Amino acid sequence: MTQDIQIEDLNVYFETASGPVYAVKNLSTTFHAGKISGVIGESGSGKSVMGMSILRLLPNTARVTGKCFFGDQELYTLPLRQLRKLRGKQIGLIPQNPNASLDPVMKVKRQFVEAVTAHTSLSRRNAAQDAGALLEQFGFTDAGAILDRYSFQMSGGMNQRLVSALGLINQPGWVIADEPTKGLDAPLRNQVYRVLRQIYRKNHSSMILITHDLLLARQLCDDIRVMYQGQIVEQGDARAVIDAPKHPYTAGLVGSLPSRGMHPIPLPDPKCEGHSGCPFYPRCEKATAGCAEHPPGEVTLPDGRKVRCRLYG
Amino acid sequence: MPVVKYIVKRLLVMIPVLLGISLAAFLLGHIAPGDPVDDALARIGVEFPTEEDRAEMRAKLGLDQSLPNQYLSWLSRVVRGDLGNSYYNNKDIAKEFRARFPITLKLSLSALFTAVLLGVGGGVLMAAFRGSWLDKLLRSISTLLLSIPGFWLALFLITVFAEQLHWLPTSGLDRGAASLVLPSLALAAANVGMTSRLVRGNVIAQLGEQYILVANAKGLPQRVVVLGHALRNSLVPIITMIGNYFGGILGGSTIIETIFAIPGMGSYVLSAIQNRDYPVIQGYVLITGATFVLINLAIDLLYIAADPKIRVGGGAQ
Repeated sequence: MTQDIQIEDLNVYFETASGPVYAVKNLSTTFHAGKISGVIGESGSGKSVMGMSILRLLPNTARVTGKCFFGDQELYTLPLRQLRKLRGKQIGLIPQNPNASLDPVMKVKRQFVEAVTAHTSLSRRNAAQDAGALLEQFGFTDAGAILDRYSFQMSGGMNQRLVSALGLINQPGWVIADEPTKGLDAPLRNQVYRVLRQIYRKNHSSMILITHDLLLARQLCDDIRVMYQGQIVEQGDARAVIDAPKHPYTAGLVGSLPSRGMHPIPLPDPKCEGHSGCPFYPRCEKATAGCAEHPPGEVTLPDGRKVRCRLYG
Repeated sequence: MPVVKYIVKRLLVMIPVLLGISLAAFLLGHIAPGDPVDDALARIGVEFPTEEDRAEMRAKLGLDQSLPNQYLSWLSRVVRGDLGNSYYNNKDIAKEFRARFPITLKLSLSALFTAVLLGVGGGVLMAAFRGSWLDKLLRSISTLLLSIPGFWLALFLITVFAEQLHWLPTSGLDRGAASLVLPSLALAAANVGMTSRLVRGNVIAQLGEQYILVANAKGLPQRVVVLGHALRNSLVPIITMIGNYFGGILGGSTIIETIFAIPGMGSYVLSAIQNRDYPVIQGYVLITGATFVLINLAIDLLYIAADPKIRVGGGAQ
C-alpha cells in the first residue's frame, strides 16, 4: 500500500554573500497516494527544488528545514543509507533534461541493470530482460539494440523515453516527474504526455508532476499546486484551478497562455518594492493597500480549494 | 571502423615526432660547445694536435661530410642499434643502455604506478568527502608533496625509513621490490600532489552533472556513484595528464637514481653530462624520447577504452 507524501513547513535556502536566498518558504502540502499531483509555476518559483527535496537530491549548498513524512518515515532526517534504499525503489524520478541524464560513457543497458540490481537480487541477465520488456512498453521496437547504445547515439525524444523508463524500472509506488516536457517541441511533448498517462494507468503509480506546462497539468493531474516565489499560492482540483483560477497569479498564468489571448503578467512595479506583505503584491493588478503590509494567510474556500490571497479573507 | 582509423592516425602521427627527436638528438652533438675533434684527440693523448692530426680525426669521425649526410649515416647506424662508443671510456653505448634501460623503466613505471594509485585514490577520497576534515588533510598533504623538491624528499625518506627505522634499504637494487619503494615514492611525490588535485577537481565537476543526480535517484550506493560514474567520466583528462607526467618521471629519475645509487640510464647520463660525453647524451635523448612517444601511444590507445565516442564514432545517428 502506497502512502501519502506529506511536507510540513519546508524551507529551502542557499547561503550567499548577501544573506540567505530562499527557494522554498514555509511550504506545507500533502501529495495523495493514487493520484497525480501537479505543481506549476514559473521558472525559479521553487517547484523543482521542492520536488528534489523529497529525495534529498538538492546540491549540498542547499539548506533544508522542515519535515517530509512518507508513511512513518521522515525523509529529511532519514539516514542516507536508508534513503538510498528508498530512492528508485519506492520513489522514482523522471528527471528534466533527458540528454544530460544518462551517463555518457556507459551503455544504456548497464544503467538500467544497475538500477535494478541495487534493489533486488535479480541477476544482471534477468535485469536486462526486464529493461528490454519495459522499453518495448515505451514504444521501442528494437529494445535490444537500444540497450546496447550510448545516450549520445540517440535523439532527445528517445532519451526522454529512456529516462522515463529508467525512473519506473523498479515499479515504484511514487514517481516524481520534474519538468518532463521542458525544452521539448510539440510532438515530443505529446509523446511524453502519452507516456506519463500510460505509466499512471499501467502501474497505478502515484505521481508528482512538476511542470510549467499548464495544459499538460490540466489534462493529466487530479489536483494542482501553484507556486510563486517558494510558496504555494493556490491549490485545488486541477480543472477548477486552471478553468476558474482564484488567485490573481494563477489567473495571470492562465491569461498568458496563447489560447487565452497571451496577456503577460505585468513586471514588478518598482514603487512597490521593499514591502513586507504578499510576495505577488508588486505584480498584482488587484492589489490593495493592505497587501503591502501583511503576508496573506491560507484561506480554504467552500469547494475545498486553498488560496493565499487577501481577496478571500 | 572508427577505432582502426583512430589507431592508424595515432601511428602516423608518431613518425614525424620520432624523426624530430632523432634530429634533436643528432644536432645536440653539433651545437654543444667545444670541437669534438679536439676532444677526441685529447682523449687519445694528443694535447697539442697539428692540422694534419685534426683533419685525420675529422675524417675518422665522419665530420668532414655535409650535415645532412652525417645525419643520415648516424640515423642508419642508430636504427641498426649502433649508438657509437663513449668518448669517455670507449665502451659500446648501446650495450650499456641495454643493461640500464630496463632498470630505469622499472623505476619509472613503479613511480608512475605509485602516482596513479595514490593520486587517483587520494583525489577520489577528497572529492567524495569534499569539505570534510579528510579533504582538508589530504589537500594540505598534496600541497606539501607539490612543494617539496624530489631530492630533498629522497634524502628525508632515506634518513627516516632506512637509517632510523631500518625498514628499507638506503640504496642499490639488491633487495628487489623493497629497493624500489623509496625511489618510487621520491620520484612520484610531486605527481601524486598534482594528480590528486586534478582528480579531485574533475570528479567534483562530474558529481555536479545531471546524470549523477539520476544515478543517485536510482538508489545506487555512494561508492558506485563516485567510482562507477563520476570517476569513470573523469578518466580522459586524468589519463592525458598521467601520460604527460611520464616524461617528468623519466627526467626526474636521473637525480633519484644518483641519490639511491641505482645503475639506470639516469645515473649514466648524469656522469656523461659531467664528462661532456655527447654520444651517450644523444643516445639518452633518443631512448627517453622514443619511450615517451611510445607511452603516449599507449595512452592514446587507453582513450579507446575510456571514451566510447572514439569506439562508436560519436554523435546522434
